Amino acid sequence: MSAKWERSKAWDNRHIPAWAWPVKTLLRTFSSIPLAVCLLSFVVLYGVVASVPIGMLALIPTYLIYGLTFVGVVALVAGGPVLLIRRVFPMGRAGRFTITVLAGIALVIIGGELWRHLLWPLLRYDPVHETGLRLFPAFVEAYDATTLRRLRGFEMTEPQFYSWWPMRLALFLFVTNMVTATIRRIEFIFPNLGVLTVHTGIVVMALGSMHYHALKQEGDTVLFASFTDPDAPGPMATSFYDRDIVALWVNQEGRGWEQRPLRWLPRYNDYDVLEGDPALDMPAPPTRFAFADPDIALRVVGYASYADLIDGWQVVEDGPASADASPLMDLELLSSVPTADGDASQRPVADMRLAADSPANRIFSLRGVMSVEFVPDEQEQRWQDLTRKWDDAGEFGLVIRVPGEGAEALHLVKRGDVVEVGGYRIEVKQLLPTPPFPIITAGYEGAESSVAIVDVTPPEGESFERYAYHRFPEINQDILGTQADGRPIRRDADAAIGISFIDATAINAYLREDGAWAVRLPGGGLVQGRVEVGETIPLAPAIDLRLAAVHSAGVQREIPQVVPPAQREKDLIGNHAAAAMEVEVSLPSGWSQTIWLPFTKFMGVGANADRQVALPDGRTLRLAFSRLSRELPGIGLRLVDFEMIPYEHSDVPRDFMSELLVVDLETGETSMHTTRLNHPFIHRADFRADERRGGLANALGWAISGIAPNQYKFSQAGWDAEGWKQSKQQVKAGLADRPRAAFTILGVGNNPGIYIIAVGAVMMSVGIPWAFYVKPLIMKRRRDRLKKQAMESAATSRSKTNVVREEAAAPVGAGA
Amino acid sequence: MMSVRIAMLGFLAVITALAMPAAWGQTAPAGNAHPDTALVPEGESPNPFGNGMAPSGFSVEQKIEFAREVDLSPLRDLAVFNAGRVKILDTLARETVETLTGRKNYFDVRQQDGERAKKAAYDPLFTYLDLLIDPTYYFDKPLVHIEYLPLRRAMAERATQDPERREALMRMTRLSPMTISQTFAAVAEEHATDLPFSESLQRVRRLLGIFEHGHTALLLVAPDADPVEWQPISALPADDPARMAFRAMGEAWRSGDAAGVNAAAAEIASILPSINAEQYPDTQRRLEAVYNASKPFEYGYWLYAVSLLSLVLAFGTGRKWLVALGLTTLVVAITLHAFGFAARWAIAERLPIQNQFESMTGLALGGAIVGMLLMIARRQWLFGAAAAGVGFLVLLAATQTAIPGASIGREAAILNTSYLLKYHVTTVLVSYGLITLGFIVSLFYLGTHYAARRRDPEAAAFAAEGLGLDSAKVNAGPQRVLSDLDTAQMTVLQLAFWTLGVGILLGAWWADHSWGRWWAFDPKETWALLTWIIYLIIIHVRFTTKRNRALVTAWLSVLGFIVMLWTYFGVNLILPGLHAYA
Repeated sequence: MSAKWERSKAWDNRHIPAWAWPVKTLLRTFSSIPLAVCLLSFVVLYGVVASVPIGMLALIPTYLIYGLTFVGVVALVAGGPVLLIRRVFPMGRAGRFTITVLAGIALVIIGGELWRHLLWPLLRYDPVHETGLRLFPAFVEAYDATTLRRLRGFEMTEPQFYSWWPMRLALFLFVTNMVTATIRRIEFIFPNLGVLTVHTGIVVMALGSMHYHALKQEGDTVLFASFTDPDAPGPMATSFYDRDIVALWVNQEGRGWEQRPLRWLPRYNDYDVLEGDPALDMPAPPTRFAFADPDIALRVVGYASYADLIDGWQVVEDGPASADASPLMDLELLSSVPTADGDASQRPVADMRLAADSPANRIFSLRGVMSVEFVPDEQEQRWQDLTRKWDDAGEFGLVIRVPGEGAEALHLVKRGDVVEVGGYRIEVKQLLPTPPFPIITAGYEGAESSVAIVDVTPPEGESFERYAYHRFPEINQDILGTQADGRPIRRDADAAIGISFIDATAINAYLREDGAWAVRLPGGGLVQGRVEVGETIPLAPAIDLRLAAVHSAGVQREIPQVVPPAQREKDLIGNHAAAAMEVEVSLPSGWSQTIWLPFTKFMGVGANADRQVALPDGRTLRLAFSRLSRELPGIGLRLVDFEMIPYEHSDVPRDFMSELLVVDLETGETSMHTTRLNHPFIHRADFRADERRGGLANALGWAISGIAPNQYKFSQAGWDAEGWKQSKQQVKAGLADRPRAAFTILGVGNNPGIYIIAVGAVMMSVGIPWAFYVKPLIMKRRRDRLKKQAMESAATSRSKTNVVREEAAAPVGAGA
Repeated sequence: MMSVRIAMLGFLAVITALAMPAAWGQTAPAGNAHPDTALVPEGESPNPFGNGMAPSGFSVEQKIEFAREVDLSPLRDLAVFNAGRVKILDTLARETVETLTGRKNYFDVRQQDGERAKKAAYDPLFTYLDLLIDPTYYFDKPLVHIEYLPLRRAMAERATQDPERREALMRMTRLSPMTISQTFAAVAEEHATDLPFSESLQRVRRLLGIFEHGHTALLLVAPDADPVEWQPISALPADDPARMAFRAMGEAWRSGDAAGVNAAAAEIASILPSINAEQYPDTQRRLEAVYNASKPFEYGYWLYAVSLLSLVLAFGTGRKWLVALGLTTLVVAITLHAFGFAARWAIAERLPIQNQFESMTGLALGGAIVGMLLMIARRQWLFGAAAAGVGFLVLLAATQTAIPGASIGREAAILNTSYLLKYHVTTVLVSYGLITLGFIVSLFYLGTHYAARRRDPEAAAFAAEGLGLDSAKVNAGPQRVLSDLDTAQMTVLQLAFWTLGVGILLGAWWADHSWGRWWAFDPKETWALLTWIIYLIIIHVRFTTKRNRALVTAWLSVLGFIVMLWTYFGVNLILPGLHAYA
């Protein structure tokens, strides 16, 4: 306990009255070291939950059990015998020690091996067979890569989590504790110079860090090489993209892009993507630099953290029916086929959303096994054909109608069969699972169907070839021969004879919006019924189809398809790189529309970044989701050349170099610079006096810029690896003189106040050894000196005493 | 002293509270990635040893005998360009065999009448050449290491119905190329959506690629100029003596003609260095051959073990000769260790602290040297024992576990272009070494403390004698010894604390210089700081603990060591971040 601390406590007792005991308690608490230890322990625990996935933390008890079993076995094997040896063998203490150590080592090894061979195979967890010991296996698996800060309700990056209020509060208390304890416990004397240096360093670092925090900007920019002349500088970049902050980009009718920053947009979890996801409602208000009309409101209402935007069908709940709307049906394929481990419970194996009015989207097919089709209501005739009972077994059926003759007949056919109906002779030439060429009829692109190709010979006139589709009889075609250039002469199917083709080679389920269903089994058997939402339709033993929902209207639009966690790239998680967000555009009239926007890393680079929304009053908006763009500090950058420098004889990168033309945007002056790995180009923006500000403010600004200059670093951060590789191939083929890259990416960051921080760091680094090594030396010398002085003093006093004694012992009058 | 510790707490505050928004993300910039340097390069070239797809004519016994007869030493230090650098054939063989089999040596099991089955291990160079020349011999041999246990089990279950045979395959950890090819498709289909399975199957596919196309790695012909790439033997004219010697060696090998193989090997070894001799390395490859043969880190940990055991026994017995033995072996161990480190430096042409394996060897060397210096300065053998403990534990872990980076290769470009790296990494590694050193000293403290608590009068007295403490203290009771041990642990821990703090700040300097941000809350940074805080707590707890503060310090030192292990290994191998190479 230092003397100063004693004096401080005495001061408290003298000056703080009894009624102000809380002040005294607070003062004492913040002067205590245990508080510092507690706060530090809190910081450590905070850091642990910030960086270690919670699934991994849940593994700790399991590994403790593993460790305890190991220690137990080793103790059992080694402990007893070693004690026995020490008692049994009569020997000196040196011998006992030796035998203890050697036998201990040997037995520990034996114990370890026994554990490894006997116990470990039982304890070791096998995730596939779920054998072995693991506590909370489901939790561990579900959160094996999820830190606390990634959970819903947090959604923070590491810096955000570390700057969250619990941490700030703890650090505030800690700093207060440190300052208080320092003032009240530490003597301001020369040996404590190390402490004082360290303290000063801390204050300096703190000030520097605050300055740094207030002005810090960081991101990157992409510079392109010239597209036309490889030896000329590329286009100029005058901005860079923020590393972390994203924005909704808005452009109304070509007025120019405005940015609406979204600082707290989620980044790790999905919102309003799948059923059960929580909702999101984040306004994106205009900034001072808005170009869009103020009556257009924008909100972020959905976020998909890792998804591909695909064309899908979305339900229109209350909106007006549009021309491209279609009834939708959601179905689940259920299986209770026993799995490899004997599980025969019913489980969903596939889900589907079918759109009746979209030929390409009305059918779900496991080709050759089964299919499900949502038959449009208007295809009444076709429904009759599909649900017609077959008297005999067969794989293919043709329903042939000759309206002019009033003839109609079902024929079960196979290849080569010839049938006659109403004077027509029909010969089955081919029965194909897919057409010999893709269906290109407008509206049917991408649709698939089996097809019967038959030769039709009418009672009069030329015979022709009929293509009869199982799924789309409305686009059946006739081929009348070939043109001179070899192309077929086509026409719509002759209405004089109608041919419906029914394919019964697999399980075919047909459903209608009203719940009517029919299943045509292989061989032609038919089962029919009616189903309500939530009920199932039996397709085959242990295979059922469940009707999940029917929607009267839905429209096709881009929707997110969530990428399964196992297929996600770690580098793309948490930085929006694979994300999409849903934006709602609304008007005061009540009109609103939502649209999903894919994330674009570099806005303005590449195509397909933005999406267009047409407002009912004719206005249009273009929207995009990208990073916030910031201006470079008064300069523009052009890429003159890029080089990847490999190791000798290889393509292994040793360094990257970008040659830059730097343009001062105010003066137009240019200069050449290079940036390489670990050798950034540093641009120091000089202080410029502002006449609108006072002289004192300018002087202060000039002084601050001297110790904390506004400098930007441009570091090599990315390159066109693929383009470089391709151009090397061109060099090898003699098509180019040297390899080139199409672009380079530079990291951009300023570091205001870094010199101040550095000074503080140096002071701390110097102060610590002073306190640990110099101060004890000084104190030892002082102690030695004091001891020596004490000894000399004692010697002097002894000699004086002796003199006195001698004088006292001298005969009276001897000195006289 | 106390006040400076309080002041240090502020360092934490500065870093965590005030600068945190300075860091914005964790995307690794260019040059941070480990170069993709595959053992077998893309493309195809003819096998210089000729077609070896005919059925092997060797039995296991014949193969073992043949391996004894052939002399491959002339080929051992031939230069070969592989994985981005010029290495020697011996190194390529070692790396290939270890990658393929998961072991340093491939072995056959020989079953002789009336005797137990015996393992016969092969020289990696022999196995490597045998794989290229007589691959059919290995079709049904347990060759390919399947690391992922569920995959191994899935393949073993499909390979055999016999439970015993299945368990034998599981224990073996390796499967034959034939078994793999028979089961691969079915396993891949069944586990198509299982990421760990897919990754492991991809790895197995790569290993099979090494087995099937290993000869494409033989870029043995030096180029005539620097930028030009090294060439395969097939690039030489058909009648070139080297090319003919390779073919002759292949034919002699397949026919079991050891003399013919030896003659061809000698001819190859004499011809290849003469082709574009000015580009062909000389000293470098000889040094690499010595490095491979001397196994400095493997023999190093054995020497450290002897030293540690001698000094521990010296503690208990007080025998001076044990102290002498311990110190001598310690000096020899450090010398060999330092040679290995220096040789690797010369071979890699960079400071060898750029991957996990290298940093471990550097850490152990730093810890051992500082321990020895402290021993000399303090005249306490305790530090020597702790130094031996550091060398033994760390080198054992580095060489006997699957620590990445044991092969000498090209590392991330960002590491090779920075002068600050040397100071940052070296300082941090020294601090880790000191933490390990402090941990071992604390173990000595704990051992002595609990022995003394058991009223074992021998322990403390012997410890004092063996430690080289003042003999007058021997009879002063265990408290005096414990006091000295406490001083020793604090000496090391203070040094560790300071060097770790400086190392972290140097890293911040490097980050600011290279990337324009000095702190990014990368997991490695976070955990280095947490480790530092643990030692900060250790120092402060001493002020709050009235009784047994040395004991508390010792236990916290053990905790600090465990946290350092997590920072050093766990963060690198498990948590993604900017320090993936460290």
